[in-house]
Amino acid sequence: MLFIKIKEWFQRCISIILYIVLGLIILPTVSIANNDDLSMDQLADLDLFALSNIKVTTVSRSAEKLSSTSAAVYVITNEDIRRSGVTNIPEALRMAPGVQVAQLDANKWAISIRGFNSLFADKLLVMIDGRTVYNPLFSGVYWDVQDVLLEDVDRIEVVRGPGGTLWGANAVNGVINIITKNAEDTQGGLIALGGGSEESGSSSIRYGGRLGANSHYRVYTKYFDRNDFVDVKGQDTHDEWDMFQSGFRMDWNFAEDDSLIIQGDYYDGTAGQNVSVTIPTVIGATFFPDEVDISGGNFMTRWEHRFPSDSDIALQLYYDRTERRSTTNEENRDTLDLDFQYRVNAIEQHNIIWGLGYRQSSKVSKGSFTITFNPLRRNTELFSGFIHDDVELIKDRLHLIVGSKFEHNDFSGFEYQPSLRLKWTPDERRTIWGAVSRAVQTPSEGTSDLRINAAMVPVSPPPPVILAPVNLTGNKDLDSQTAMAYEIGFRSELSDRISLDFSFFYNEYDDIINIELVPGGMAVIFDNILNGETYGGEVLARFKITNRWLLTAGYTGLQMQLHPNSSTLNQSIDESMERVNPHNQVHLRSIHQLPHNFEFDTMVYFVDNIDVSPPLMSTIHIASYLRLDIRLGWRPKANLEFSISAQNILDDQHVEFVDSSSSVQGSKIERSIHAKITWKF
Amino acid sequence: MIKLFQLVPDLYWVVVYAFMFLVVSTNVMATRAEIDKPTLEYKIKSTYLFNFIKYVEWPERRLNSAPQNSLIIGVVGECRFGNALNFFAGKTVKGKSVVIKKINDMYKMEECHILFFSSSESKNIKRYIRFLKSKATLTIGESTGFINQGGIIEFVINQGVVNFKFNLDIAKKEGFVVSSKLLKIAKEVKGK
Repeated sequence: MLFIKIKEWFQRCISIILYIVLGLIILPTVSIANNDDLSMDQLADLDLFALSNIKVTTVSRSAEKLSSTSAAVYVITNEDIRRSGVTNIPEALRMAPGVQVAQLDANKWAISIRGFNSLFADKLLVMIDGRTVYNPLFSGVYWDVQDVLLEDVDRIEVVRGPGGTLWGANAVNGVINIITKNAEDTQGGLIALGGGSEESGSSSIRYGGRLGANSHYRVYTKYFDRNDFVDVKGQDTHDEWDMFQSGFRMDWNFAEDDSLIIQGDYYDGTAGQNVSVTIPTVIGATFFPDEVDISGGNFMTRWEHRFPSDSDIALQLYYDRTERRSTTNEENRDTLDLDFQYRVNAIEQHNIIWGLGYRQSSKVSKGSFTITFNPLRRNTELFSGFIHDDVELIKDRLHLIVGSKFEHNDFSGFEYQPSLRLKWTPDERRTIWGAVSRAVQTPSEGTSDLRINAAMVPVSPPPPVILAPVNLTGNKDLDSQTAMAYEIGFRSELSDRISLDFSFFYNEYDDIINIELVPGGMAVIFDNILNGETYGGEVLARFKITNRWLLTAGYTGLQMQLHPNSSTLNQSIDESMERVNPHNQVHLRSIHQLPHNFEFDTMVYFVDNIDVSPPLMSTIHIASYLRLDIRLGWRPKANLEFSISAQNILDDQHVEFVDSSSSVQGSKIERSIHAKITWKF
Repeated sequence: MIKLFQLVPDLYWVVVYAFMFLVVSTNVMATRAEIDKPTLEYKIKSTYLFNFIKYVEWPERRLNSAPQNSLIIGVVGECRFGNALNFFAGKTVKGKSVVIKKINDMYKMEECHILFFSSSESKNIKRYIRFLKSKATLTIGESTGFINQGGIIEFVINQGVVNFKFNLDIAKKEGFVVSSKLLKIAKEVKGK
């Protein structure tokens, strides 16, 4: 059976290689119909001003801008998202090399960069238009409520490696920055309707207009409904998911050197799950179908002013409300954040940015026997400041970037996160960079306040059986986890058609927080019990085979070595965590413009096997998988698009991840097919 | 329905092979003209090239130096204009007829009024510019830093829009008179 599987895989790999090789030989000379909207007759009639306002999108140009950054950055463009056929942000992140995306059930993903993946991966900072969406309660991201109108996304910047110097604590292993378009770039109407085997229905409507000479707005609303997946036994896992979201954005250039952004969103939906519930009178814990009510909203405003001296300031304020009600817990949170930033270009060869920030987050939770918090109400404050200097040592060739973030939080007090970067650009086509950074992961409300009764166990021989809970408790005396990261990278455009990007890292972690055993065996507690190293690298190659055909290939390698402190009782913790991330990941994307305005796009992902070990339980092995997604699009007119995309074509269903805290049951990720129509007017 | 899904992997390869057959057969039928279709970016760049003629005044003797009352646009390096630039061939502007030439030899550059350097030539720009010094040639490039290397106009793509940087210092030195309207549209003017 295994042999047949391997043989099948082998055949498929051979076919893929054959397809690519043949394509390489044949396609450069193939005739391709002209798809661009404007003819030479139309263009020749335009004056210079009109000409300088026509949008062209080129994949290679955005990459060129990247070629001079001194960090491992990958940008997912609006076009990348459209061509991938994905319908949400987590799935879009699969395109970025170095990101480990593992779907747990229909509405949950474990997403991390450079190791330590879990449902609540805590070493990754995620922002949408400058608003932090990292939730301090579980020190992770609730991906089920992080949505935008994908058609209005300008780009998703994925930074691998520490970003703490600019963005603050919790950006230990990476930063994901989701940036939506300026309202000026989303004028007119858009209607997108979709439906398929898993996402049974989705609709998006957006309208953008003009309020005055220098002011533009857009409003949007979207709704989708997803079906549930199945568990290993083929039973429904009750993870159906529906969501309504609506929002607006206004961009106003009220003076020549001033701009103002005002934007807001509101969402409301339900996300199903099979949640683990502990009942005092029942041995163990039981999975119950649960509907989590999720709703919230946010409001953001940002003012930017540019001085004649090429310096600028920005002031940003946002408010965010999230509400989450499940069988086992209820959380309501209000976050207020104020940021000020000043970029000074006054001193020759120095580009200095400094800033100050304040954040207040207050939550009210209502626990249950299974999970609760001590205290249930909490108000936390964060004060921060940063300074960052880009020194041009040799004009256009050698840059030194130094900086540090300083912050004060309620859990570990004062923290500093410096970094030192060097960037050498021997010519326009090559960049070599290196960096040493210190990053900090502060204890969170979760690791401090949490109390979970994971299961009931008998503590006396019958009769009568006395049950007692096995519990996990937070620890109020935790230290911050620290990381020293050493990175080098190399980026090169070998020609106009081929570009390469390499980055390698070696990270040292101290005081990693994990689960410590308590003598007696009935309780576990969070503690700083691990040290360790991770090392690896990411390689990305782009081949622009013709002007109409782009191939991207990526490889991600990662190794984790963890060492329990000599004093810890949990001496086997290292083995259970070292394998939560795949050692190898490969992805291949083909973006292909066909004749008659057809588009054919293929994505292949290989993800190596992983092991997940829930505390006090045996290790769960998750096999490697090969995933194939395809999309066929047709644009009969510039403003009309039909597409059919299929995900997970190679197998009926496969498991991608298991929650190590066993709080929710995982699902098998099923094959799905999805059709969509988009009309702009 | 489930049965149908089980067929999908096989179906995929059928589609792939069918597609490859399609590709091969289309290839056979391909005609030269269709290969020349340019992207929107190069259509816009070629329109700019033609428009620059209207907003830049050459020194009198330079304009009259060319044979048959023509104005010559030369393209150096890998040409991505396809048939877009040829659209303007033969058009009359300032009483001159536009001629498009592909330049493979440095000494043929001398007769051109406008020279466009493709990004494939980025390594040789300095050498070309040195050669063209005091020849009143409107040099246009698309590689980063073109105007810093002594070129006059550098195409840039900013926020998805094709624009250009203008080196007024060199333009003046070479004897050009440049319309203020052109400079207003430029993203950056060096030596205002």
